[in-house]
Amino acid sequence: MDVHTIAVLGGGNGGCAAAADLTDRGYEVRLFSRARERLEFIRERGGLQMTGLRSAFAPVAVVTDDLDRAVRGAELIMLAVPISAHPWYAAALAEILEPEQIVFLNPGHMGGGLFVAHEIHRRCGRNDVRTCEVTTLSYVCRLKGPAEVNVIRMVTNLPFAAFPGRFRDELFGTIHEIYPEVVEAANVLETGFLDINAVEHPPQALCNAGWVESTRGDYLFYRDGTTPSVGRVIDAVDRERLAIAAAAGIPTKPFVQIFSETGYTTEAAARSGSAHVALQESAPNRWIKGPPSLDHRYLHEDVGWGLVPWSEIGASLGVATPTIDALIALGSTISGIDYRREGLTLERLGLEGRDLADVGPFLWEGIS
Amino acid sequence: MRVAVVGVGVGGLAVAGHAGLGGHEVRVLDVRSEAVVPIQQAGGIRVTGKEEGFASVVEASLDPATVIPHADLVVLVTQGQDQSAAAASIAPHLSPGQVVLVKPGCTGGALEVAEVLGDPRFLVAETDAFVFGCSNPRPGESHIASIKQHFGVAALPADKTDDVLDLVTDVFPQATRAADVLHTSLQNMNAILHLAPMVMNAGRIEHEGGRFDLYGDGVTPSVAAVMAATDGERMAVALALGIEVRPLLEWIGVSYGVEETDLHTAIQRLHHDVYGPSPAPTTLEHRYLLEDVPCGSVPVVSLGEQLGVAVDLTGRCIHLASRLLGRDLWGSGRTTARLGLANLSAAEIRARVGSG
Repeated sequence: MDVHTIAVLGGGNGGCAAAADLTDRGYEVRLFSRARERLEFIRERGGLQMTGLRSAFAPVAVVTDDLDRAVRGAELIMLAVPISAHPWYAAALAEILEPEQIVFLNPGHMGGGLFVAHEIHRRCGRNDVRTCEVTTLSYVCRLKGPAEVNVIRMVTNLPFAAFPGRFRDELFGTIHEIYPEVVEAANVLETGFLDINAVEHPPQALCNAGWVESTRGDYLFYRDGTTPSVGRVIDAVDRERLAIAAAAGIPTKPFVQIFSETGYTTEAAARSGSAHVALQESAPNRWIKGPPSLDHRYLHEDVGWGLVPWSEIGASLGVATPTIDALIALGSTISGIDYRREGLTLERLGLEGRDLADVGPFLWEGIS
Repeated sequence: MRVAVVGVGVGGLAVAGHAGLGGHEVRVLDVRSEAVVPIQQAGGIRVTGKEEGFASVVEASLDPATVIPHADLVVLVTQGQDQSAAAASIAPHLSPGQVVLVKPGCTGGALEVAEVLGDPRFLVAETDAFVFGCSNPRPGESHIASIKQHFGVAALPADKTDDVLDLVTDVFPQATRAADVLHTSLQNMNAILHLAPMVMNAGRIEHEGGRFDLYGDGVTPSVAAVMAATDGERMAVALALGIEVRPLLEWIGVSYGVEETDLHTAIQRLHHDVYGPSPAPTTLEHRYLLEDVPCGSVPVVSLGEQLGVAVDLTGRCIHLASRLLGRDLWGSGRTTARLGLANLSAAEIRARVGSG
């Protein structure tokens, strides 16, 4: 499909980077955010200033807090929002999505597209929604001002999958036109199992919970926080993730390899097989500090919507996940949120009751 | 009275020194010659601090045969995880009627030692706390900085506690009767005080251990929430066994006069008003995990699982501690099997310890 008009949903780092970049590359972009005050600055300036990768002023075609106006007639609906916003968007899109429109989750993390498709089906019975996703946001970027976004680089080798999978080749062609960095993965569980945020962030945050809280994150979160012992916990989570994926027949790679292939550490560090070493050698993460509190996506997203679905898939396949389960229990106690109830359960993924050792046919055909 | 002290590390030196200054006939045993030789050479232990003087020691040895048979009271003063090995080494040299006091028992010390000794004619007892705040300034010397005004003793079974107390109060007049070894064991607070702060500050301990305060900095609201939740699991196990122990918050109030309504505030006040600086360990290879997990958290979880009590969070924290250290703390811990309580119901466990 030839895409001219793209609805970019989300006014944060990712949404603004996409709106600026795509406008500058000639697409008609409708930028939507629920936060009207965020949009005022962009409207006043008549667009977004982009720096970094290219220096350009991007006169975004439409800047709106009216979802219907953003979505109607657009060929591609790009969700560039935190996981925690997926339920709201799924509900809002359920009624207004047009049959030919493609939903692109940038990023989808673990199971974003499955959740959105299942949630729309649950709400209004529609099973014609075509979703596709990449594991992580395609931009390395930060907002520098209310209408200025610094796009540092594009993420390379970005795993891409579609749900239902039978639309994969067509949707891959469409997205590849826009983002040549994407590479095809077998299905949305393959992209989901590559979500390394859920491998590293929960151990880093929980085994340093006292450090985060007593200093409001004023230490080098990745480098100093990933000591040999914290690295061992990350390694243990990763072994469990690999075992679940193997039991489900999902091809995947070790954390350190993904980390290296996406440019976060050296190949030599990856060869050590040690998360501790990989994090010590991570130039992009080196100076990043901790979160100001534990009320943060490192728990809400990476535990609730990363570790919980892995644990549930593991349980249904008879794969023990004691370290993942320990992190879920500790995270739930700290946040006061029972992530096993509130997170991305098999039920929310639409996978409950399915034979996960042979889930390929469902991921291909979609919701019947 | 003839007292044998097994283990002359920091704690054992103080116990042996105190007993010697009290006029008792003291013998000491250790597996480390560097602990034994200075005492042999000096003929005793120099004691400073709250007690002062030179305590004669008639025998300091690596050989239990020269120490154990001559004692009315054998006091085991090793870290919890070493108590079973110490018990195994002295077992062949004990005679019926001899008293072995496990000091302190952590959780399940007397039960584990009795299981290792394997003969009900040996009288085993434990204390609920260690009696001294002490240090070891030089080889063979003990500095006693503080002395607890009371501590509890319980024998296994409980109807023998008075017999044991007759001997123990000769050396420690402040010893009082505790109901039974379930009470002394389940009132052990070390595991609750140390497990969550160690696990949830693991990276900081490794990165800048010693340069932050384990309680003042390390016990934040989240850490205190996990401490409170694991304490609730300990309380639930005690309740299932039909015994009454104090929650950590209340225990802090009773023990230190710090009355608060939430654990985070209570521990911060404990830190500021009572403990003073408590620099965090410089490594995770520390008794806060190596002793308090296998001899504190593991028995609580093992009992809970056996009795159908929810002890999930403590179990999860044990698992994380094992992963952090890179070895299994559960396998070396005091499971109900090691305590001789496997497959017993709550009522049978109570009967075993002579409760009620």
